[in-house]
Amino acid sequence: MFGTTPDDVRVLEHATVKVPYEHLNKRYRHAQKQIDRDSASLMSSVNDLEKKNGFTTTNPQATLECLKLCLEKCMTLKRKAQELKDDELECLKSVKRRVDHLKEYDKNSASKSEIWRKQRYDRILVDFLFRTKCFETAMALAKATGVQDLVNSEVFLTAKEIEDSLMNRDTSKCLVWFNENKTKLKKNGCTLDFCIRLQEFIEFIKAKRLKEAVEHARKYLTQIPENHTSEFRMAMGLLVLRQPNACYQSMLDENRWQKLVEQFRIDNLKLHQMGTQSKFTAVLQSGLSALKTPTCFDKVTSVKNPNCPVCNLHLKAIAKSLPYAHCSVSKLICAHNREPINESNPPLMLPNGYVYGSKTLKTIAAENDGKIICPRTNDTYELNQAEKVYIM
Amino acid sequence: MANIQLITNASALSYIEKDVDKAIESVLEFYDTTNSNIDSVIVQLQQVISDVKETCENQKYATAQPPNTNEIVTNGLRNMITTTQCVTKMKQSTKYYSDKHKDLHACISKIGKTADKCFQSDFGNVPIVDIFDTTDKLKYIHMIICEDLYRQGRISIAKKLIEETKLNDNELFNIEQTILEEINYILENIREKNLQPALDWCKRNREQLLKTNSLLEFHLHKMRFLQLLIEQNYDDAKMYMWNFSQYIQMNSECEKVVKELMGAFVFSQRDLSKSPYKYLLEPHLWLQLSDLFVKQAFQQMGLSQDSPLYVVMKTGFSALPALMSIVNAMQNTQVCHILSKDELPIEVDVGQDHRYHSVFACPILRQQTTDLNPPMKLVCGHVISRDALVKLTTQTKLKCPYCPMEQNLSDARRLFF
Repeated sequence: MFGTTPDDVRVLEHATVKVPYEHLNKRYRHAQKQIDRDSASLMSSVNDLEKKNGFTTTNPQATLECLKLCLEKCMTLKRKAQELKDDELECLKSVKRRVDHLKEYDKNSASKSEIWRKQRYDRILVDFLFRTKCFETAMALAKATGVQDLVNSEVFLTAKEIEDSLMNRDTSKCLVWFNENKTKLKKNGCTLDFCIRLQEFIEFIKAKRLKEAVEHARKYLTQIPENHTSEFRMAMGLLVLRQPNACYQSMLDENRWQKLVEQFRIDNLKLHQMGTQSKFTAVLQSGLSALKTPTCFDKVTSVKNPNCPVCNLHLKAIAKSLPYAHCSVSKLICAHNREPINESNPPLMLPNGYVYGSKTLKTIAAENDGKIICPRTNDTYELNQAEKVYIM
Repeated sequence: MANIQLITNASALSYIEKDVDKAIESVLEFYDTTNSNIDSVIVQLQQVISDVKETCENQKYATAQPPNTNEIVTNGLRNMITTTQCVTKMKQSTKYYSDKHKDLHACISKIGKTADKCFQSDFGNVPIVDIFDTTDKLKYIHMIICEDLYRQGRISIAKKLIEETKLNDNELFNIEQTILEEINYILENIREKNLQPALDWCKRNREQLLKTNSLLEFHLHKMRFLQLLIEQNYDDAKMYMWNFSQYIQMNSECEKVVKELMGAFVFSQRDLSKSPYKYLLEPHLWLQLSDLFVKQAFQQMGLSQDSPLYVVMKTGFSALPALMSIVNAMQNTQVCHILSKDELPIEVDVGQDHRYHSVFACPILRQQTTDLNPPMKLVCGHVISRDALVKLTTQTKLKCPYCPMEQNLSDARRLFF
């Protein structure tokens, strides 16, 4: 699909532009509706005026009233148009601000790109914190690092309200959200409305308000999405059983609310084009994999390096299930001074099989009257006992 | 589709920018025209209204007087015509308002389409598995983030995170709170461009700094000197120079920097930001300075000098695009799922700075050695993996693949890198 290998911006910044774009698109549609309404209202008065105008000679008073009404509506329209203009322009500008921010990433300037990269790190961290429900931390970090404009906090905060209300068994906010974005959500194949209505139905049954449950089902559960038929049948079965048996127990589970929240979260992320996977997760995985070596996990050969991030206690647990970095040509570093082992620092093996760079051994010998004490085993040797090894 | 091929990394953004600018222009034009249309309608309406009002008043007046029928009819007709004109104009303007706004959709949706073409909307076939599948792992990553916040000198945010995720402070790195607070205080001050606390810290830790040959103090002095120049405090700057004397002899790199600083001193009387030394004022130098401090402070405590999370993310930012393009290229052969395999399909260059362990790749089997398949040294000094050694052996003898030496399998020695 791409002519050249896409760079980090093209791989990672889709949402950066798309989120404010989706907002723009929404506001544009809203404006069109408003415009149609205002126009229709003015047109009805204009038509009225046209009719009355036929009798202007005999009844100028009626024409005058119509004219005044038209003027008033024209004024309103002018005012509304100004509001819509401001709104749409503001949305466009926020898209532009994001594009401008991406353009600031000038890889030719060390100064600019370093600052930009730091900011990218901060905003991806903020995004992840939002996604893992650390709202306070996310907001505070966004503010401290000055990335508020780049992290879509409004989307997360609105979502939080709806999620909280769902967890409190209140469906109203979520349904309002659904209706506001119905067209788009349906296009994405979202079935959240059905799931919520079904849950409401189950809640009626739980409360033994069977009559209301039936009414509710008749009103809202008329269209059953294909992949929800068995769930729907189960729910209907509940209606019949007074004491639900084991296989219906899952329908009464309070966990279903948690699932609704999860479903809402995914649908909302899709709606705003934010991607259901956080960039943080993707970047972290690739990074851990690219740094992961067998030594990080081997027990016998383990060479501790406090600087290795994969060896970090916590990151190690996460890296465990990921692949190792690919390495087709050996890359050795001296276990003692961590300098690369190469032609200018050739490898030498001590009789115990431990290999060091020749620089290290010379330094050690100089410090110990020509003796070499293996830094890992504490065995003592003469410098001339060290053998050359050849790494192809 | 042909167009898509032509989108390069550099042009992608300018395509979108062009679309956004175009949309802004169209929106502005639309509302400006609408506005002037409505304005002229309003002026016309006001005129007609005052005319008709006059006629109405005349009529009222006329009831008392014998009517001048002729005049009334003429006025009435005139009003009728102007009203009709008004009606036509209003209809036109309204139609324009509603229709033309619909037309804006094209240029607005173009932005979205271009964005979809220029960027990858998701991670495509790179199967990003949910690595935080257990609450434990999520807790670990929150801890790593928390430690990173400490390293960035954002202690209050770190504490918020601890509170929100109910982390246990004790599980964080093993450092006394007072030390963390001290580091945080210094970092906060560097952020505010106040170097004094960092300089004081260097004085207290001189011994450690010397042991690790750290240039932290030198760089702090350098920045302070530049600050004095910017403040045009030349007398103090002159006094400050002696701070550099000890470094000039010690380190040739420092010597070079000091020479630059002296050059800057000469130019600073005019305008440093327009001088050849303006690079000394670049803002990222402050980031590097606090980095240098954190490195030193954490290294001294036996911890990783860089933030592990930052290193991983930095590597990830360069690795991910490479992984994605290889997967995109492989998708026909169905060998995706690269992140659930044992090894990545391509080599990602992490740079010498981020090589933390030796990796020995067997030159025969092209496999990385492990505890189970360790590197073996042949009598001649060539090193291959044990698996390769066994494969090359017939009965108990083998010939080195790199030189003519024949030898016994049992003479090979296990190596530890």
